[in-house]
Amino acid sequence: MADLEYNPDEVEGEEDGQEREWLPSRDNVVFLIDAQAAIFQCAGLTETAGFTEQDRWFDVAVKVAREFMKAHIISSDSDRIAVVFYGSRETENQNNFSNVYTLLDLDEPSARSIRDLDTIMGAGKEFEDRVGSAPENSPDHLRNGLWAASQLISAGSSRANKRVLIFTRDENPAGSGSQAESHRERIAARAQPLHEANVTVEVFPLTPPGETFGMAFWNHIIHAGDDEESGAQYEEGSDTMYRLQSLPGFTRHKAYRKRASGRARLSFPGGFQLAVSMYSLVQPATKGSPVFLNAVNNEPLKVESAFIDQDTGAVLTEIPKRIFPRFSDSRMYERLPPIVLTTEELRSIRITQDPGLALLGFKPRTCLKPWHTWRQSNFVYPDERSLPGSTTAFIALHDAMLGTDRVALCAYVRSRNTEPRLVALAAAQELRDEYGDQLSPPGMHMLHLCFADDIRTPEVDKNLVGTAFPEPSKEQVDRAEELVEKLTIQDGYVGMYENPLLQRHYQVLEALALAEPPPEVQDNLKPDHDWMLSAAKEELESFRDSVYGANHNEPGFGKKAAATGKKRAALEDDSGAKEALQEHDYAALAAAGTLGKLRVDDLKLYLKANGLKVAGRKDDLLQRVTEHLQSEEK
Amino acid sequence: MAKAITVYVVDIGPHMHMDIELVSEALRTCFLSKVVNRARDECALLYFGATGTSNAVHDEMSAEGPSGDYLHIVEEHSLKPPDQAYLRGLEPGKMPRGQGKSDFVDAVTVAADIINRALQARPELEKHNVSKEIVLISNFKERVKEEDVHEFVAALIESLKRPDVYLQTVSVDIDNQGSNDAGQDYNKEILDELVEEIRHKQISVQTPSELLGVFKCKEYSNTAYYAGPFTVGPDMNIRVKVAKKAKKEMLPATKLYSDRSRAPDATHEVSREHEYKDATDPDALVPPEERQKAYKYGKQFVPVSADDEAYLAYKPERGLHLLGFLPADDIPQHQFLKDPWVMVAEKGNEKSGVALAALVRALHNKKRVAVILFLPRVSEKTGGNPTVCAGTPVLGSEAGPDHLVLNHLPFAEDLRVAKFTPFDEKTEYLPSEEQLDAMSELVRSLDLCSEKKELLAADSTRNPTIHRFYNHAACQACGKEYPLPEPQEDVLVRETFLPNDQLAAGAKPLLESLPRLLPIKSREAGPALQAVKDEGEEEPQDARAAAFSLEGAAAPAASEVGTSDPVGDFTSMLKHDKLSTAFSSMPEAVETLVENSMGDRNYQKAASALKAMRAGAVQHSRSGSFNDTMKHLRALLESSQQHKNFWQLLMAQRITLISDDEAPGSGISAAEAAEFLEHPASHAQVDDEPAPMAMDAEAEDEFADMD
Repeated sequence: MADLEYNPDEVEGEEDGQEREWLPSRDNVVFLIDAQAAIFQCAGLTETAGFTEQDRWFDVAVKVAREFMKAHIISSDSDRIAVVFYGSRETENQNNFSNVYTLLDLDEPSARSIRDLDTIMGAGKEFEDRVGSAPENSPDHLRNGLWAASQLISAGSSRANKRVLIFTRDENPAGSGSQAESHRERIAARAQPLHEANVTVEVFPLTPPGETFGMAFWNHIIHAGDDEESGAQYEEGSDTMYRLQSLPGFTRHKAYRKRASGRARLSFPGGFQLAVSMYSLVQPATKGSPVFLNAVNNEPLKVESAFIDQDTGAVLTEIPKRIFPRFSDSRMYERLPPIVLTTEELRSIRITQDPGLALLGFKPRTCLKPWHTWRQSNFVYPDERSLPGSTTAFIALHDAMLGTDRVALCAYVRSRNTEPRLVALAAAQELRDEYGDQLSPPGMHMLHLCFADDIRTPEVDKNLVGTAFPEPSKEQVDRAEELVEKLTIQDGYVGMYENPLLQRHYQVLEALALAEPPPEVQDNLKPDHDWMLSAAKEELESFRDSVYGANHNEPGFGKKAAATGKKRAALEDDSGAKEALQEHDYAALAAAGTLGKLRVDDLKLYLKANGLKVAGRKDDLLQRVTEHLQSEEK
Repeated sequence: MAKAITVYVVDIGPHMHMDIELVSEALRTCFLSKVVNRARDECALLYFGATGTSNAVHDEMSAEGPSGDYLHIVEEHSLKPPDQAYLRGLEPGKMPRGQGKSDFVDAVTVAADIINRALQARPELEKHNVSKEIVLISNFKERVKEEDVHEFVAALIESLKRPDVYLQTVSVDIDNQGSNDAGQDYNKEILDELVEEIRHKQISVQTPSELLGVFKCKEYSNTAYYAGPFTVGPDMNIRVKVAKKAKKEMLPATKLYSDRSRAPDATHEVSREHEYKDATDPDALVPPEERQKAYKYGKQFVPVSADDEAYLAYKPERGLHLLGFLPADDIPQHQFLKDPWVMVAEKGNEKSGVALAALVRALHNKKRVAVILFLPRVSEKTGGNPTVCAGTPVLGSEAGPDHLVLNHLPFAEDLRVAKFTPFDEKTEYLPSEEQLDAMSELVRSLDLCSEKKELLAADSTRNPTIHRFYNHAACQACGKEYPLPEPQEDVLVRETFLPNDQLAAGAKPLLESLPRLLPIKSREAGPALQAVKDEGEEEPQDARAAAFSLEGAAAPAASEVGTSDPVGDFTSMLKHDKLSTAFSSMPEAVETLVENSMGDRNYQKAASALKAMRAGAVQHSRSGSFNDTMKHLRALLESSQQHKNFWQLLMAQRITLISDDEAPGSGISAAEAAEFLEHPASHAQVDDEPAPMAMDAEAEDEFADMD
């Protein structure tokens, strides 16, 4: 087990490159779904991934909520999510606001809650029986819905990021009668406390692509307060499907709130300092480590680890000393007796410095090679709050680096216990999509650089690559270029694939949680041969023929025990074996001392032909062949 | 397993004396690394320019009569696996300063002789996976004897070529200012003539840190992690191998050691044991058969049996597949995860070699990257770990073929896209022309690539921490106590982590104008970082170590507050009127207790110590000293990942600043004192902390069978 090994980083309480970098904080999200009659119209979304032709707008909204939950289970499972219908026939909520039905209370999502959403949608009568639509539309429905949402969300932790997401087909719940204005006022009055409590309110109009949806009324609700974080402004007729899909669980993961993973001072030589915050915009999601439950009550167990002195059996209360080196073969200690290192010594070896970023200089961006980073980057943005004035200085630096196409090299110390490393800050400009939505933010990316000790050079290791490197002809390169051109993925982007390992893990886990039979899990992460053939059948063939000649292909794995399959077959076949034997002059090779250059299979061929044992490592085989050849000579 | 035999040919002649300690340190760490990491490797050490003479070639010639050839070359260690004796000879100050005259051609001839003799004596070393190397370290100031030199060199080349020796030359050009004397120029010509026809690498080092970092801390054999087909569409395979290109090197492995037992036969071994306890009943141990493995699904824990687990695993077919291509600009480097790989064509496979080279060049010409699905290994039990990689083309050279560098790309689940306010949204933050110009000027003047040579290039900058570890361990292994240099005196640390003096001096006026041009307001509340720094400056690191002994039990009468019984020490010192020592050494003891605490084991002790100090401070009117300690502690805990919870204990026990109410003159109101505890450091949420066991099984698995 790795944690029995000495790894100072681990003992100091961190797992390098894998540490979760969030400051503690969570999302509380309320899905507030209009349950009035209009939402049960068929949406007709055939072309859109994730929805079927039969789906009604209601199903669309519930599916969005379900996928949102699933995505949160995978990526940040401490978030709390509620699902509430307004304009329902039945009334069920803590405060008994009429025509509001709380399907799921604000809680961490579970398999059960996902199953609840599954049953409530679809063709069954579940919704009609349990919830139902209110017989007639009323401005009060939304008013009560907002009220219920604000009650739910204020019960959660005060430190959470809070959002209410409203799904509706109703452009103007206030109606158009003489009372319209006062209705609007009354509804807005319910939205007010949400804004005061720093809750973000978003509206998702459920309209088919191409149709417009008047936002006049809703802008009132959304902007009752000022959303300083996102500054989102939704114009009339904004593209519904695009916005729905921008929620997590759909193709683009956009709706995570930003969470600073740390703050630091960026100091220039000579002492000038500005403040920055760091964010983890890329963080490898994992399936999480298993925990142990008490089999009796299914409660998680507390794990305590202790260092035990093997001589006395005592529990050590302080971090033990270390000896170096750690040899598995104790005879090695005769070559080098061990030395004892105290915790203090180890600490001063590790150069504890004050946390922060120290600027060392600048170099052209082209100096960074793809093998120079060893972990995911962090995003760096000015921190005006800690040191006012930082934003202006940061922007000046940012623009200067962009203008000269340079990156900044810094020494980076993450916390007092981490060793200093070198990082490069690369300035990035803001990118927006055609709808004006931010695709990538303005700021700097902190790239964690390798030291020379981390970098290996397999590409020039003659044991791996040999010494002769074939040159392609111009014609061959031209064919390859045509192929590259044709197989370039249109509209491709980083993050376009889902991780099948995680998808499978959570789908099966969901079934287990509900005591259902494990589902058949579809694996979509495969080369898309249909697309490749339709896009570049000719180019694929002509590239292959140009490098391999007609009708040739290099072998794959084949079936079981693939790589050697062909040769094994040859071994079985006597005539083939004899032919293969002729390929090499074993005696001459042995005389030149280069027998070792032969492949194991060739050695085995010889052994087999001479009725010798073929088992063992290459060294053994070599020995056997050499011995046999020597005996032949005599 | 691959193995290397290396002859180190080191110039110790009069010209080299200035840099000899640096050479000694580099070799010391190199030999230690060989013992620890490459136990089968063998090394010989040859000094030239030595005062005496001791080498086989000279002996052979003298056997035939008195000879004046190959003088002043000493075979310090013959070819064998290095051991402690190698390190002893390289103890600081121990490496000989030679007074003799011998040139590098003679020295390399002796080295080639050592290798050829070894090959004759042990034919198994002939095998191609035994790499034969000569490392030549010199400043090439001793002019090569001109007589018949070209014949000599030609003969030498022959004797190096037959065993396929790899010659690495390290030319020490520190303080040279780029001006070679005529002798050096001549020598370099001869050297070029020598290396031209053999495999070689020439390194020139211009700074002490480059010389210290000339050897890698650990050499790896480049084994293929994946060998098999790379599919390009349904009907084409290219046979390739994939090997690791970079991986973060950790400090070397050590073993836990306890000196609790004084018994002569003590093993000193320490084991790490895990206890599983019921959350509701902390005293109840739960036996293994009552433990049920589970995974978290949302708020639920889902129990998982061994069968379930096999079904949970993702088990695709292993392989390496092209998914498509993307414009290189669409895949910026900041999207890369984890460490990179290299994909090369199978050795000796002409067809695959041409195919991959054609593809690499096409990508290079078209400025595209390949999107590649990499499924290297799939186990029956735990499944496989799929990755989508960006394959960036890298053109080959004489030494290596065209290849792709593979970088992991994030999956949809790995991305956290958050929105940030555009810089131009709030115009009041936009810098003025003057500010922009100043910054652009600064970016240009702090140029790390100004003099042709790139400073701090990733491919040649060593990790100072690891080098420090090896050098310290190598010195200790000599059997004497060598104190660690302070970080600021450590050449490698200074040259790597501190700004280059010359660069900074060049930009001095600009740097000095920054605070005026870009005013930054400091918050009065005093950021924690600042506090830490100030304290740190007053108390150098080792003062803390010297101030008390960790082995508190061994310490005699309380002359200082130790960590074994801080309260006892403290009170006894107060009794003996040693007020200043008591109050000055207590904070250190508390800090050490907390920092060295395994989990929360020392917390109670540290808290009681603080309580005692607090009481003492009220009694002896030293509230300022206590309050400073608390502030320092708070700053410390704020930046500490694992000891945040100690603050919570202080909150629970209400150990806070001493207010005016308790001791007049502290300058702190009762409200301030109460508020002091409610600090961000206290908001560590328990549910966000990794479990003590938390370990990334996947990350471990992925590389488990590498190297």
